[in-house]
Amino acid sequence: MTPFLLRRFLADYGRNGANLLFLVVVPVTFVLAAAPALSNAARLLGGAGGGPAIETVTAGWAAAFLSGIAMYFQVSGARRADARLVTAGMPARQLRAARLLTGVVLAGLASAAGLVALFARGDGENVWRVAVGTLLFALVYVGLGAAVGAFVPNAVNGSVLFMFIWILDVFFGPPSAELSRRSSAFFPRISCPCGPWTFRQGMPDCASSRGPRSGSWGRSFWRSSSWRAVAPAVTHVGPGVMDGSRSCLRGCGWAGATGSELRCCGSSWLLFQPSSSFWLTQSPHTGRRPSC
Amino acid sequence: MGLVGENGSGKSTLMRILVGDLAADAGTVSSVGQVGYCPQQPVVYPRLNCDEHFELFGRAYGMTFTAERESRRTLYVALGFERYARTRTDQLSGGTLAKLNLALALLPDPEVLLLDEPYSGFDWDTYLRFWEIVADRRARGRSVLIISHFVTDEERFDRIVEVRDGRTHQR
Repeated sequence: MTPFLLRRFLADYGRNGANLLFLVVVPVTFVLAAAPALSNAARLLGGAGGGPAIETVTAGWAAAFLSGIAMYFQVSGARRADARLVTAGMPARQLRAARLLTGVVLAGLASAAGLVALFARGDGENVWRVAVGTLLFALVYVGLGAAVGAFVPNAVNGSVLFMFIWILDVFFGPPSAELSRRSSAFFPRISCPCGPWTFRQGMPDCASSRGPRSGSWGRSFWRSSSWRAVAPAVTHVGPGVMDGSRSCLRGCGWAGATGSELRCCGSSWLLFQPSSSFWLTQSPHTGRRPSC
Repeated sequence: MGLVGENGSGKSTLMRILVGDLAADAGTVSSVGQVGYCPQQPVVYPRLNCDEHFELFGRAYGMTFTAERESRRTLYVALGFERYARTRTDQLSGGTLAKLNLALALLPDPEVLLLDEPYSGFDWDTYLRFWEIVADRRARGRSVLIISHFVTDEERFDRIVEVRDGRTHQR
Protein backbone atom coordinates (compact mmCIF):
# COMPACT_ATOMS: atom_id res chain seq x y z
CA MET A 1 0.00 0.00 0.00
CA THR A 2 2.77 2.45 0.93
CA PRO A 3 4.51 2.24 -2.49
CA PHE A 4 1.15 2.83 -4.14
CA LEU A 5 0.52 5.89 -1.99
CA LEU A 6 4.07 7.08 -2.57
CA ARG A 7 3.56 6.99 -6.34
CA ARG A 8 0.30 8.89 -6.04
CA PHE A 9 1.75 11.53 -3.72
CA LEU A 10 4.77 12.02 -5.95
CA ALA A 11 2.46 12.35 -8.93
CA ASP A 12 0.36 14.89 -7.03
CA TYR A 13 3.50 16.89 -6.29
CA GLY A 14 5.19 16.50 -9.65
CA ARG A 15 2.17 17.49 -11.73
CA ASN A 16 2.67 21.02 -10.55
CA GLY A 17 5.47 21.90 -12.94
CA ALA A 18 6.58 24.84 -10.84
CA ASN A 19 7.29 22.50 -7.93
CA LEU A 20 9.85 20.49 -9.88
CA LEU A 21 11.33 23.61 -11.42
CA PHE A 22 11.87 25.23 -8.03
CA LEU A 23 13.21 22.00 -6.61
CA VAL A 24 16.08 22.18 -9.08
CA VAL A 25 16.49 25.85 -9.88
CA VAL A 26 16.50 27.23 -6.33
CA PRO A 27 19.33 25.04 -4.95
CA VAL A 28 21.42 25.60 -8.05
CA THR A 29 20.91 29.36 -7.99
CA PHE A 30 21.43 29.56 -4.27
CA VAL A 31 24.70 27.65 -4.40
CA LEU A 32 26.03 29.49 -7.40
CA ALA A 33 24.87 33.01 -6.59
CA ALA A 34 24.43 33.35 -2.84
CA ALA A 35 27.36 31.35 -1.52
CA PRO A 36 30.05 34.06 -1.79
CA ALA A 37 27.86 36.71 -0.17
CA LEU A 38 26.87 34.38 2.67
CA SER A 39 30.47 33.45 3.19
CA ASN A 40 31.39 37.09 3.69
CA ALA A 41 28.44 37.61 6.02
CA ALA A 42 29.48 34.63 8.11
CA ARG A 43 32.95 36.02 8.52
CA LEU A 44 31.50 39.30 9.77
CA LEU A 45 29.23 37.48 12.23
CA GLY A 46 32.15 35.51 13.59
CA GLY A 47 30.73 32.06 12.90
CA ALA A 48 32.54 28.75 13.03
CA GLY A 49 32.32 28.45 9.31
CA GLY A 50 33.47 31.05 6.87
CA GLY A 51 35.06 31.10 3.52
CA PRO A 52 34.89 27.79 1.68
CA ALA A 53 32.98 26.03 4.46
CA ILE A 54 30.05 28.39 4.18
CA GLU A 55 30.05 28.03 0.44
CA THR A 56 29.85 24.28 0.98
CA VAL A 57 27.01 24.50 3.45
CA THR A 58 24.88 26.54 1.04
CA ALA A 59 24.01 23.30 -0.74
CA GLY A 60 22.62 22.00 2.54
CA TRP A 61 20.73 25.21 3.24
CA ALA A 62 19.14 25.24 -0.16
CA ALA A 63 18.22 21.54 -0.08
CA ALA A 64 16.89 21.93 3.45
CA PHE A 65 14.68 24.86 2.56
CA LEU A 66 13.22 23.23 -0.52
CA SER A 67 12.72 19.87 1.19
CA GLY A 68 11.12 21.42 4.22
CA ILE A 69 8.79 23.71 2.34
CA ALA A 70 7.77 20.83 0.05
CA MET A 71 6.98 18.71 3.08
CA TYR A 72 5.12 21.56 4.69
CA PHE A 73 2.83 22.01 1.72
CA GLN A 74 2.37 18.27 1.42
CA VAL A 75 1.15 17.96 5.00
CA SER A 76 -0.85 21.18 5.23
CA GLY A 77 -2.28 21.12 1.72
CA ALA A 78 -3.45 17.52 1.81
CA ARG A 79 -4.57 17.57 5.42
CA ARG A 80 -8.31 17.24 4.74
CA ALA A 81 -7.93 14.83 1.85
CA ASP A 82 -5.62 12.65 3.92
CA ALA A 83 -8.09 12.75 6.80
CA ARG A 84 -10.87 11.69 4.46
CA LEU A 85 -8.75 8.83 3.19
CA VAL A 86 -8.07 7.66 6.73
CA THR A 87 -11.76 7.98 7.56
CA ALA A 88 -12.46 5.75 4.57
CA GLY A 89 -10.21 3.09 6.09
CA MET A 90 -6.68 3.83 4.94
CA PRO A 91 -4.27 2.82 7.73
CA ALA A 92 -2.88 6.07 9.14
CA ARG A 93 0.55 4.54 9.60
CA GLN A 94 0.87 3.71 5.92
CA LEU A 95 -0.34 7.12 4.90
CA ARG A 96 2.17 8.73 7.24
CA ALA A 97 4.98 6.55 5.95
CA ALA A 98 4.10 7.42 2.36
CA ARG A 99 4.05 11.14 3.14
CA LEU A 100 7.44 10.94 4.82
CA LEU A 101 8.91 8.85 2.02
CA THR A 102 7.65 11.41 -0.46
CA GLY A 103 9.49 14.05 1.57
CA VAL A 104 12.63 11.92 1.54
CA VAL A 105 12.49 11.52 -2.24
CA LEU A 106 12.06 15.27 -2.68
CA ALA A 107 14.89 15.89 -0.23
CA GLY A 108 17.07 13.61 -2.36
CA LEU A 109 16.23 15.58 -5.49
CA ALA A 110 16.87 18.96 -3.88
CA SER A 111 20.12 17.71 -2.36
CA ALA A 112 21.27 16.32 -5.69
CA ALA A 113 20.57 19.62 -7.43
CA GLY A 114 22.47 21.59 -4.81
CA LEU A 115 25.39 19.17 -4.81
CA VAL A 116 25.69 19.16 -8.58
CA ALA A 117 25.90 22.95 -8.50
CA LEU A 118 28.40 22.81 -5.66
CA PHE A 119 30.67 20.35 -7.40
CA ALA A 120 30.27 22.22 -10.67
CA ARG A 121 31.76 25.22 -8.86
CA GLY A 122 34.84 23.14 -8.26
CA ASP A 123 34.23 22.35 -4.59
CA GLY A 124 34.89 18.68 -5.11
CA GLU A 125 36.64 17.73 -1.88
CA ASN A 126 35.15 15.22 0.53
CA VAL A 127 32.40 14.50 -1.93
CA TRP A 128 30.65 11.73 -0.02
CA ARG A 129 30.93 13.47 3.30
CA VAL A 130 29.44 16.65 1.91
CA ALA A 131 26.75 14.69 0.08
CA VAL A 132 25.68 12.79 3.20
CA GLY A 133 25.73 15.97 5.26
CA THR A 134 23.61 17.81 2.74
CA LEU A 135 21.09 14.99 2.59
CA LEU A 136 20.87 14.75 6.37
CA PHE A 137 20.37 18.50 6.54
CA ALA A 138 17.50 18.17 4.08
CA LEU A 139 16.00 15.28 6.05
CA VAL A 140 15.99 17.32 9.26
CA TYR A 141 13.99 19.96 7.44
CA VAL A 142 11.61 17.35 6.07
CA GLY A 143 10.76 16.64 9.71
CA LEU A 144 10.45 20.34 10.46
CA GLY A 145 8.22 20.87 7.45
CA ALA A 146 5.96 18.06 8.58
CA ALA A 147 5.76 19.46 12.10
CA VAL A 148 4.98 23.00 10.93
CA GLY A 149 2.45 21.60 8.48
CA ALA A 150 0.76 19.68 11.26
CA PHE A 151 0.53 22.66 13.59
CA VAL A 152 -0.08 25.51 11.14
CA PRO A 153 -2.71 24.81 8.50
CA ASN A 154 -2.73 28.34 7.09
CA ALA A 155 -0.34 28.41 4.14
CA VAL A 156 0.82 32.00 4.67
CA ASN A 157 1.44 31.60 8.39
CA GLY A 158 3.11 28.25 7.90
CA SER A 159 5.39 29.52 5.16
CA VAL A 160 6.39 32.54 7.24
CA LEU A 161 7.07 30.39 10.30
CA PHE A 162 9.07 27.90 8.29
CA MET A 163 11.09 30.64 6.63
CA PHE A 164 11.69 32.27 10.01
CA ILE A 165 13.15 29.02 11.35
CA TRP A 166 15.30 28.64 8.27
CA ILE A 167 16.55 32.23 8.39
CA LEU A 168 17.45 31.83 12.05
CA ASP A 169 19.32 28.70 11.16
CA VAL A 170 21.17 30.28 8.27
CA PHE A 171 22.13 33.59 9.83
CA PHE A 172 22.40 32.69 13.49
CA GLY A 173 23.34 29.03 13.31
CA PRO A 174 26.83 27.87 14.25
CA PRO A 175 28.41 28.13 10.83
CA SER A 176 27.40 31.76 10.53
CA ALA A 177 27.47 33.08 14.07
CA GLU A 178 29.46 32.50 17.20
CA LEU A 179 27.48 30.24 19.54
CA SER A 180 28.15 27.97 22.48
CA ARG A 181 27.88 24.26 21.88
CA ARG A 182 24.79 24.05 24.10
CA SER A 183 22.88 26.78 22.28
CA SER A 184 23.95 25.48 18.90
CA ALA A 185 22.24 22.16 19.62
CA PHE A 186 18.86 23.86 19.31
CA PHE A 187 19.38 24.84 15.72
CA PRO A 188 17.60 22.69 13.20
CA ARG A 189 20.70 21.24 11.67
CA ILE A 190 22.86 18.44 12.87
CA SER A 191 24.12 18.89 16.40
CA CYS A 192 27.78 19.13 15.50
CA PRO A 193 28.62 22.82 15.88
CA CYS A 194 29.79 22.94 12.32
CA GLY A 195 27.99 20.04 10.75
CA PRO A 196 29.58 17.27 8.73
CA TRP A 197 29.41 19.25 5.52
CA THR A 198 32.10 21.54 6.84
CA PHE A 199 34.53 18.68 7.16
CA ARG A 200 37.09 19.76 4.75
CA GLN A 201 40.58 20.94 4.64
CA GLY A 202 41.03 24.39 6.03
CA MET A 203 38.46 23.94 8.79
CA PRO A 204 40.63 23.09 11.77
CA ASP A 205 38.04 23.88 14.40
CA CYS A 206 35.47 21.53 12.98
CA ALA A 207 37.86 18.85 11.99
CA SER A 208 39.61 18.64 15.30
CA SER A 209 38.00 18.97 18.67
CA ARG A 210 34.47 20.08 17.96
CA GLY A 211 33.43 18.16 14.93
CA PRO A 212 32.12 14.62 14.82
CA ARG A 213 34.49 11.80 14.10
CA SER A 214 34.00 9.91 10.94
CA GLY A 215 31.12 7.51 11.37
CA SER A 216 29.37 9.49 14.05
CA TRP A 217 26.97 11.30 11.75
CA GLY A 218 24.07 9.12 12.72
CA ARG A 219 24.66 9.83 16.38
CA SER A 220 25.07 13.52 15.77
CA PHE A 221 21.96 13.52 13.64
CA TRP A 222 19.93 11.96 16.37
CA ARG A 223 21.45 14.14 19.07
CA SER A 224 20.09 17.23 17.41
CA SER A 225 17.57 18.57 19.90
CA SER A 226 15.45 20.06 17.20
CA TRP A 227 15.23 16.78 15.37
CA ARG A 228 14.27 14.92 18.52
CA ALA A 229 11.56 17.47 19.15
CA VAL A 230 10.26 17.18 15.64
CA ALA A 231 9.99 13.42 15.67
CA PRO A 232 7.28 13.14 18.32
CA ALA A 233 5.43 15.99 16.70
CA VAL A 234 5.44 14.16 13.42
CA THR A 235 4.46 10.93 15.07
CA HIS A 236 1.63 12.22 17.17
CA VAL A 237 0.54 15.59 15.97
CA GLY A 238 0.93 15.40 12.23
CA PRO A 239 -0.68 12.02 11.81
CA GLY A 240 -3.14 12.98 14.49
CA VAL A 241 -4.36 15.84 12.41
CA MET A 242 -4.46 13.60 9.39
CA ASP A 243 -5.94 10.70 11.30
CA GLY A 244 -8.73 12.69 12.77
CA SER A 245 -10.58 10.29 14.98
CA ARG A 246 -8.21 8.70 17.41
CA SER A 247 -5.32 11.02 17.70
CA CYS A 248 -3.75 12.50 20.74
CA LEU A 249 -5.00 15.93 19.80
CA ARG A 250 -8.53 14.71 19.31
CA GLY A 251 -8.37 12.95 22.61
CA CYS A 252 -7.36 16.20 24.21
CA GLY A 253 -10.35 17.99 22.73
CA TRP A 254 -8.89 19.64 19.67
CA ALA A 255 -9.45 22.25 18.39
CA GLY A 256 -8.38 24.97 20.68
CA ALA A 257 -6.84 22.78 23.34
CA THR A 258 -3.44 24.39 23.18
CA GLY A 259 -2.44 23.45 26.70
CA SER A 260 -3.38 19.84 26.21
CA GLU A 261 -1.67 19.83 22.87
CA LEU A 262 1.57 21.04 24.40
CA ARG A 263 1.30 18.54 27.21
CA CYS A 264 0.80 15.79 24.63
CA CYS A 265 3.88 16.81 22.73
CA GLY A 266 5.92 17.14 25.89
CA SER A 267 4.97 13.73 27.15
CA SER A 268 5.42 12.25 23.68
CA TRP A 269 8.95 13.54 23.61
CA LEU A 270 9.73 12.14 27.04
CA LEU A 271 8.25 8.78 26.14
CA PHE A 272 9.86 8.33 22.80
CA GLN A 273 13.17 10.10 22.87
CA PRO A 274 15.27 6.96 23.60
CA SER A 275 14.23 5.37 20.33
CA SER A 276 15.76 6.78 17.20
CA SER A 277 13.50 5.09 14.71
CA PHE A 278 10.15 4.97 16.46
CA TRP A 279 8.55 7.59 14.35
CA LEU A 280 8.91 5.47 11.28
CA THR A 281 7.86 2.22 12.90
CA GLN A 282 5.62 2.98 15.83
CA SER A 283 1.92 3.36 15.38
CA PRO A 284 0.46 6.01 17.65
CA HIS A 285 -2.50 3.72 18.16
CA THR A 286 -0.55 0.68 19.23
CA GLY A 287 2.54 2.18 20.79
CA ARG A 288 2.92 3.82 24.13
CA ARG A 289 0.61 6.73 24.29
CA PRO A 290 1.19 9.89 26.21
CA SER A 291 -1.41 10.57 28.83
CA CYS A 292 -3.45 13.56 27.82
CA MET B 1 -33.20 10.16 7.13
CA GLY B 2 -33.00 13.87 6.67
CA LEU B 3 -31.04 16.20 8.90
CA VAL B 4 -32.33 19.75 8.75
CA GLY B 5 -31.85 23.00 10.60
CA GLU B 6 -30.99 26.64 10.20
CA ASN B 7 -27.63 27.82 8.96
CA GLY B 8 -25.09 27.41 11.71
CA SER B 9 -27.27 25.08 13.74
CA GLY B 10 -24.59 22.40 13.74
CA LYS B 11 -25.73 19.90 11.10
CA SER B 12 -22.34 19.57 9.44
CA THR B 13 -20.59 19.56 12.79
CA LEU B 14 -22.84 16.71 13.94
CA MET B 15 -22.06 14.77 10.77
CA ARG B 16 -18.32 15.32 11.15
CA ILE B 17 -18.57 14.03 14.70
CA LEU B 18 -20.52 10.99 13.52
CA VAL B 19 -17.88 10.18 10.94
CA GLY B 20 -15.01 10.73 13.36
CA ASP B 21 -13.65 13.85 11.71
CA LEU B 22 -14.26 15.93 14.85
CA ALA B 23 -14.08 14.97 18.50
CA ALA B 24 -17.30 15.29 20.46
CA ASP B 25 -17.43 17.39 23.62
CA ALA B 26 -19.48 14.64 25.19
CA GLY B 27 -21.03 11.32 24.30
CA THR B 28 -19.87 8.46 22.14
CA VAL B 29 -20.45 7.37 18.56
CA SER B 30 -20.89 3.69 17.74
CA SER B 31 -21.16 2.39 14.22
CA VAL B 32 -21.69 -1.02 12.68
CA GLY B 33 -20.60 -1.72 9.15
CA GLN B 34 -18.92 0.47 6.62
CA VAL B 35 -19.63 4.21 6.57
CA GLY B 36 -19.45 6.37 3.46
CA TYR B 37 -19.05 10.09 4.03
CA CYS B 38 -19.55 12.89 1.54
CA PRO B 39 -18.38 16.22 3.00
CA GLN B 40 -20.13 19.47 2.14
CA GLN B 41 -17.14 20.88 0.27
CA PRO B 42 -15.37 18.48 -2.09
CA VAL B 43 -12.30 17.07 -0.39
CA VAL B 44 -9.94 15.67 -3.02
CA TYR B 45 -6.32 15.78 -4.14
CA PRO B 46 -6.14 18.64 -6.65
CA ARG B 47 -3.67 17.16 -9.11
CA LEU B 48 -4.93 13.58 -9.21
CA ASN B 49 -7.56 12.60 -11.72
CA CYS B 50 -10.92 10.93 -11.08
CA ASP B 51 -9.66 7.42 -11.83
CA GLU B 52 -6.77 7.85 -9.43
CA HIS B 53 -9.16 8.99 -6.71
CA PHE B 54 -11.29 5.90 -7.20
CA GLU B 55 -8.16 3.72 -6.99
CA LEU B 56 -7.00 5.45 -3.79
CA PHE B 57 -10.35 5.27 -2.07
CA GLY B 58 -10.99 1.74 -3.33
CA ARG B 59 -7.82 0.64 -1.56
CA ALA B 60 -8.77 2.62 1.54
CA TYR B 61 -12.15 0.89 1.65
CA GLY B 62 -10.42 -2.47 1.25
CA MET B 63 -12.17 -3.26 -2.04
CA THR B 64 -10.84 -5.77 -4.52
CA PHE B 65 -9.55 -4.47 -7.83
CA THR B 66 -12.51 -5.98 -9.69
CA ALA B 67 -15.12 -4.66 -7.27
CA GLU B 68 -13.62 -1.19 -7.38
CA ARG B 69 -13.55 -1.15 -11.19
CA GLU B 70 -17.15 -2.34 -11.41
CA SER B 71 -18.41 0.14 -8.85
CA ARG B 72 -16.44 2.94 -10.48
CA ARG B 73 -17.94 2.20 -13.88
CA THR B 74 -21.46 2.10 -12.44
CA LEU B 75 -20.99 5.42 -10.67
CA TYR B 76 -19.54 7.10 -13.74
CA VAL B 77 -22.62 6.09 -15.69
CA ALA B 78 -25.11 6.84 -12.93
CA LEU B 79 -23.78 10.34 -12.30
CA GLY B 80 -22.77 11.00 -15.91
CA PHE B 81 -19.13 12.05 -15.65
CA GLU B 82 -17.28 9.18 -17.32
CA ARG B 83 -15.65 11.48 -19.85
CA TYR B 84 -13.80 13.22 -17.04
CA ALA B 85 -12.21 10.00 -15.79
CA ARG B 86 -8.70 11.15 -16.64
CA THR B 87 -9.18 14.82 -15.86
CA ARG B 88 -7.36 16.30 -12.91
CA THR B 89 -9.73 17.44 -10.21
CA ASP B 90 -8.40 21.00 -10.23
CA GLN B 91 -9.63 21.21 -13.81
CA LEU B 92 -13.14 19.93 -13.12
CA SER B 93 -16.20 22.17 -12.98
CA GLY B 94 -17.91 22.61 -9.61
CA GLY B 95 -20.73 20.26 -10.54
CA THR B 96 -18.43 17.49 -11.76
CA LEU B 97 -16.28 17.87 -8.67
CA ALA B 98 -19.42 17.46 -6.55
CA LYS B 99 -20.20 14.27 -8.49
CA LEU B 100 -16.75 12.88 -7.75
CA ASN B 101 -17.09 13.93 -4.12
CA LEU B 102 -20.35 12.00 -3.86
CA ALA B 103 -19.12 9.03 -5.88
CA LEU B 104 -16.16 8.53 -3.52
CA ALA B 105 -18.64 8.08 -0.67
CA LEU B 106 -20.83 5.71 -2.71
CA LEU B 107 -17.92 3.63 -4.05
CA PRO B 108 -17.97 0.69 -1.61
CA ASP B 109 -21.79 0.61 -1.35
CA PRO B 110 -21.51 1.16 2.41
CA GLU B 111 -24.13 0.12 4.93
CA VAL B 112 -24.37 3.70 6.20
CA LEU B 113 -24.12 6.80 4.03
CA LEU B 114 -23.60 10.23 5.55
CA LEU B 115 -24.11 12.92 2.91
CA ASP B 116 -23.66 16.60 3.70
CA GLU B 117 -25.64 18.56 1.09
CA PRO B 118 -24.30 16.27 -1.62
CA TYR B 119 -26.16 17.81 -4.53
CA SER B 120 -24.80 21.35 -4.31
CA GLY B 121 -23.85 22.26 -7.86
CA PHE B 122 -25.81 19.45 -9.52
CA ASP B 123 -27.94 20.20 -12.53
CA TRP B 124 -31.58 19.11 -12.41
CA ASP B 125 -31.04 15.77 -14.17
CA THR B 126 -28.18 14.82 -11.89
CA TYR B 127 -30.23 15.91 -8.90
CA LEU B 128 -33.00 13.53 -9.91
CA ARG B 129 -30.50 10.76 -10.59
CA PHE B 130 -29.05 11.31 -7.15
CA TRP B 131 -32.42 10.61 -5.56
CA GLU B 132 -32.78 7.48 -7.69
CA ILE B 133 -29.45 6.26 -6.34
CA VAL B 134 -30.58 7.01 -2.79
CA ALA B 135 -33.87 5.18 -3.36
CA ASP B 136 -31.98 2.20 -4.76
CA ARG B 137 -29.67 2.07 -1.72
CA ARG B 138 -32.62 2.39 0.62
CA ALA B 139 -34.42 -0.45 -1.15
CA ARG B 140 -31.35 -2.63 -0.59
CA GLY B 141 -31.39 -2.00 3.14
CA ARG B 142 -28.80 0.74 3.32
CA SER B 143 -29.15 3.69 5.69
CA VAL B 144 -28.71 7.16 4.27
CA LEU B 145 -28.47 10.33 6.35
CA ILE B 146 -28.68 13.48 4.25
CA ILE B 147 -28.30 17.09 5.29
CA SER B 148 -30.81 19.08 3.30
CA HIS B 149 -32.10 22.61 3.09
CA PHE B 150 -34.84 21.99 0.56
CA VAL B 151 -38.41 21.84 1.82
CA THR B 152 -39.29 19.90 -1.33
CA ASP B 153 -36.94 17.11 -0.29
CA GLU B 154 -38.77 16.49 2.95
CA GLU B 155 -41.28 14.13 1.41
CA ARG B 156 -38.42 11.90 0.26
CA PHE B 157 -37.30 11.06 3.80
CA ASP B 158 -38.63 8.36 6.09
CA ARG B 159 -37.58 10.38 9.10
CA ILE B 160 -36.51 13.97 9.60
CA VAL B 161 -34.38 15.18 12.47
CA GLU B 162 -34.00 18.87 13.11
CA VAL B 163 -30.97 20.35 14.83
CA ARG B 164 -32.07 23.23 17.01
CA ASP B 165 -30.30 24.91 19.94
CA GLY B 166 -27.61 22.27 19.88
CA ARG B 167 -30.05 19.38 20.19
CA THR B 168 -31.81 17.08 17.77
CA HIS B 169 -35.60 17.04 17.56
CA GLN B 170 -37.73 14.54 15.68
CA ARG B 171 -40.17 16.12 13.26
